[in-house]
Amino acid sequence: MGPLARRDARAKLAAALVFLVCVGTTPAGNYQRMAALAAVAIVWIAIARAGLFRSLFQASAILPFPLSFGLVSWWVSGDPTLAVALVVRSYLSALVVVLLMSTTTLADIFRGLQSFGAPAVLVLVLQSLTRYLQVVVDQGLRMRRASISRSGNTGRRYSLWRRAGGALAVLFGKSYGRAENVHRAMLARGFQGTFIALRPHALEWRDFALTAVAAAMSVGAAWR
Amino acid sequence: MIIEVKGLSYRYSDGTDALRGVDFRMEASESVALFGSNGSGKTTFLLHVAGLLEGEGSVRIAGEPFTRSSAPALREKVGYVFQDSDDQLFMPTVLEDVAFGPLHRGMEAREAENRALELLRQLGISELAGRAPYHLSAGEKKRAALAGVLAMQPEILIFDEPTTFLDPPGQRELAHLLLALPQAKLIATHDVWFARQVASRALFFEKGRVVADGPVDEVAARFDWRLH
Repeated sequence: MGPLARRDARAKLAAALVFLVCVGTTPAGNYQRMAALAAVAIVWIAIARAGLFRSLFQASAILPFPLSFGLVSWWVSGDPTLAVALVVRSYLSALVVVLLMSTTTLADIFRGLQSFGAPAVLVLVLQSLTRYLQVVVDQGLRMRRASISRSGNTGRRYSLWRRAGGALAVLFGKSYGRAENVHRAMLARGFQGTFIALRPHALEWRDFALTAVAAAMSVGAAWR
Repeated sequence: MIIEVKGLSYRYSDGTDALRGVDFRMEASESVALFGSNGSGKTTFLLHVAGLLEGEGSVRIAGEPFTRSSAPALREKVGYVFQDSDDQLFMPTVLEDVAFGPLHRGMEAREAENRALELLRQLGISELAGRAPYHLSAGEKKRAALAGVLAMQPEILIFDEPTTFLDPPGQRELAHLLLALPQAKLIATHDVWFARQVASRALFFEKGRVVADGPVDEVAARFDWRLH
């Protein structure tokens, strides 16, 4: 566990927010600032021991979306500057989100959002969504195992995905049923719309220091 | 009467009549097993007793009827152990999961944590406190789920197929565990041996109706409800 993982989620959220604002307000075409912000992100990934290449790879999952919109923007305006800015901003934002996710549990992120005054409904929807995704993945794995056990594993991914695709409706039907059961279990144990933390974290000086240093680095990189 | 059910009927949205006019009464000192083939209405009945489904007819817990407004308070009296523990264990660690009920019913965090730790100790799974629930064995999951329910100190315990996924020693341990619990118990099961250990009375469900109510052995024999 790297040093960032031990820090309070609120400190990391605040630092990430400052970074995102800096990325968002960097003018298109100012590649020097963007490179400086990328360097800041890479330094924090190294400090967190989050795995540089893994993080860079995971963040690239977002690229198809800004690339598509960027190409459209380039085609319409004839100027590639905005398109490049869109892709770089999206990628850097994704990179910092990947860093946040790899050093903080989802439960802590939700608690952090809650204590920052994020609407309770929004936090609840996010929590329910992640729990539902867990259920869908779990159900998907069960169905995949069942499928392999009956048809034999051909070892070809395509074949597996094709089978999974054919069973998509069943997967969501079953996941819906399981999600209902999870919700019932929560209701049965007194859940009334808000998650309550067992151990609310108290911010330490190290957390404040983390936010201050990270924010200073982001602002310094963006306004140099 | 700790549980009183009158004329309970329920139809699922796909048109299946799951319950058809079920009447049932149970004393606080009783433990009752529910027999019946799959789809006969046992789980639907249990969900109504726990206030998690709302059908026609009435369900009273300790004399008070389940309504939309009374449901949250009445659910405190009923602990439901689901058939699949994976549905029930939804928090990141076992300790947080066991403390979930007391915490969400207004207990102080420290007190809820102490209660959770004490229950884990009583159930012999203290070492699992910091573990993620989905990494546990079936028996450990069942104990963790039971601890989560017991943490609410309910007056009634409901078990839906509690022996599913458990090996024979696990089933024996669970039977011993249930016998030691003072609460009234409703247990849906296919296992006559298990029912005989933990209950004295049994109901038999058929197509959404209770067609027999009596001693466990008598009901099991009448419907030839045994393996051999």
